[in-house]
Amino acid sequence: MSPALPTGGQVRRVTRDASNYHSETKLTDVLGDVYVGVFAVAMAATMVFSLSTRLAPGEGPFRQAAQDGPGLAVGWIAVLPAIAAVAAFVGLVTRLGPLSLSGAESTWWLPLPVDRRSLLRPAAYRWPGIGLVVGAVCGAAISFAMPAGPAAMAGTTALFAALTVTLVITAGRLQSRPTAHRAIRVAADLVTAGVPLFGILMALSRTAPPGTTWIALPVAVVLLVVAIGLAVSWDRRLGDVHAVSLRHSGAVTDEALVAVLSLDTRALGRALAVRTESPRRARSSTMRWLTRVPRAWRPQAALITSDVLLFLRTPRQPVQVLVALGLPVLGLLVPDPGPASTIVLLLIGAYLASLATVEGARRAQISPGLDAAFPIGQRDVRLTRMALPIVVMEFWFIVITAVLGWRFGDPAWWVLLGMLSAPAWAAAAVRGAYRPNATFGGPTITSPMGALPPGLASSAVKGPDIAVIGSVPIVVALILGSTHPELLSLQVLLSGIAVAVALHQKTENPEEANPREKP
Amino acid sequence: MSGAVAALLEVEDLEVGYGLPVCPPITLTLAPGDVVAVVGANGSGKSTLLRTVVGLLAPLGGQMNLLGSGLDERSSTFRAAVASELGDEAFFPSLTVREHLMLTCFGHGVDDPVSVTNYQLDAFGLTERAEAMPGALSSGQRRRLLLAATFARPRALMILDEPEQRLDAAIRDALAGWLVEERSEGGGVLMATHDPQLVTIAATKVVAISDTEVRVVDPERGAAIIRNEL
Repeated sequence: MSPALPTGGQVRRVTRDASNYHSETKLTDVLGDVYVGVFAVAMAATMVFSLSTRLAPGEGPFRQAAQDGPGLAVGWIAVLPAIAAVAAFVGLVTRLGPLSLSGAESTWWLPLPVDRRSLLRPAAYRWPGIGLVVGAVCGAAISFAMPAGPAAMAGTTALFAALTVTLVITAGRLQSRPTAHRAIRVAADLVTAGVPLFGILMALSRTAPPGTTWIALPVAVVLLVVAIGLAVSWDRRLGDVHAVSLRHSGAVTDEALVAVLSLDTRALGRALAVRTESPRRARSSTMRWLTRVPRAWRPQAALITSDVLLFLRTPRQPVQVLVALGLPVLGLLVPDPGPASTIVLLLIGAYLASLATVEGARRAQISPGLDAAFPIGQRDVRLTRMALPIVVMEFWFIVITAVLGWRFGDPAWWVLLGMLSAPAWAAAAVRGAYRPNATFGGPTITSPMGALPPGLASSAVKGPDIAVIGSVPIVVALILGSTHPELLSLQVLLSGIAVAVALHQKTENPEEANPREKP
Repeated sequence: MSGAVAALLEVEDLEVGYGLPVCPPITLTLAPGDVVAVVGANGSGKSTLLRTVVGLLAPLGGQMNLLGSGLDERSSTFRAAVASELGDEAFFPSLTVREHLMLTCFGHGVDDPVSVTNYQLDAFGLTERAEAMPGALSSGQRRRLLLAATFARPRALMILDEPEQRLDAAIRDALAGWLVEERSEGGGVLMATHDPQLVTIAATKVVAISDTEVRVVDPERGAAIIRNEL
């Protein structure tokens, strides 16, 4: 006779009650966290509004405002990021499942003969709920950028919210069909990557964005009905998702969550990209060119070859460089680019581009044997691993500074400044790739973000620190609207310092990185 | 169990692997009272076979039947019948050792979960650590907890991946005895192992996997194959 089994919901409740019984978090802690969170958001909002007021477009300290440039209509500046944000969100959610269980839930819940539908229901509605908020925020941003009456604003907000929820639920419904699921992820990535290029096209063709209209409201209602229908259908099929899919998605989610909590962009990139898109190739390269390199330089040549092959065989990385290039270019195509937005977009773009060039160094940091396999010192290894980032960032800065020169004059000086900046960013990327991992296994520090290991913040800023310092000349040039010989000299000095810092290894001593692990 | 069901698990020409087969096709039958040990060198495909049987990997070819019907880990019948421990370590950080076992018993509708939990805690030497959180356990204790959960629940077939790993000698000896007990009570066990003693004491037959062939041999021969590997 079959034993009386609990429902999946009862299993969840039993687990939750037992966890709560042992939880050390008290109501006052939660209220304290909420207070700190609200305070932090208020502080950030105050700073943003203050800066925006001072550095609003048209009132910035540009001496040489752009003349006769292409015009990207202001509406696009809201529409394009909103579309990119929704697409990026859908891509992220598809990578994370959207249906997933943590490692513990997979191990202890999935073998139980309870109904999986009620077991998985809360996990299923987590991402659609977040999607509703993300979509609504994106829609609201467009509404405020192109105000056209309450009905149009409400309609645009609701339309984006319903669209995002529909896409997330569709991804969920297709989770048990790998080909279709992957197609959604690829489509979302293509839209995200295509937004800057689309924006450039719109700017060059001087096309106006579609205005907001009340028609968005009934369309949103229809889409919402579709979303509800899909959700009901998905709910009925929750039990059809294979355990292996729930486990895999849960492992990616767990890894991404830890990476976010530990401010580790390397781990976040690995969690979201490497696990879902391992570089593949049907046959090995013969690497014959290495035999033509003088014997003394073959270790360096081998390292550079491995970095280049990894870069080229992981399509996401070259695409990331190009998309990162589109961001600041897009910012420069508006009729009157403000210095604040130009600087922010350039820094974000350079950061994203440089991150895409150091996957080899990141993997070597995790598996030091990769570097130790060559008969050269670690300093030489790092210098060698800087080769690919330097080449890529040179290309990146030549393009972006050429556009800057086109908008603000003196292109040769801008390009020269950009070329001198590239090594600083390459050095920053390599330094960031080799920073030691945070250790959560030992004593932790209580913070509003939860328990964090000591030294986390100082570890997290390794890399970005010299990127910021190395960017000072180009940032100053952007504020002034022109370059100066002094800035070029300063850039040479700062790039040299950045490379020297990136080659420095003292902080990589594990005992120093984690002092509590000393015997 | 119905007498009409001759085999707990039937596997015919099963191809397993990650895109490409990692070993030759496997055919085996596991009847009630059988303890089948899968032996072979590292990378020979033992764990891949077990992961395929429990539905964590899709088979590349061949047939699998559990209790006379197709094998689908999504069905509650499969999950009620198959208890697996494949070494995947993950625990709820805020649940004690005892609560992990209680949760397993509760989820499987065990009549007296408290008694069963206490029995397994005692059997696996975890009574002293019953109120400890998983983070405070040693590697071997975590393995014992996972095995205790497998033995705490009702099952027709037990699938274990190198259960002897990280266990001390006393628990390893006890494990061999429990597997013999499982066999005598009509249960079935499919396990990958590198322990010749476990094979000699508990196994009723051995599936030996190599690069070129899959052979079904008797336990003595299987133990000898393991020793030669070492």
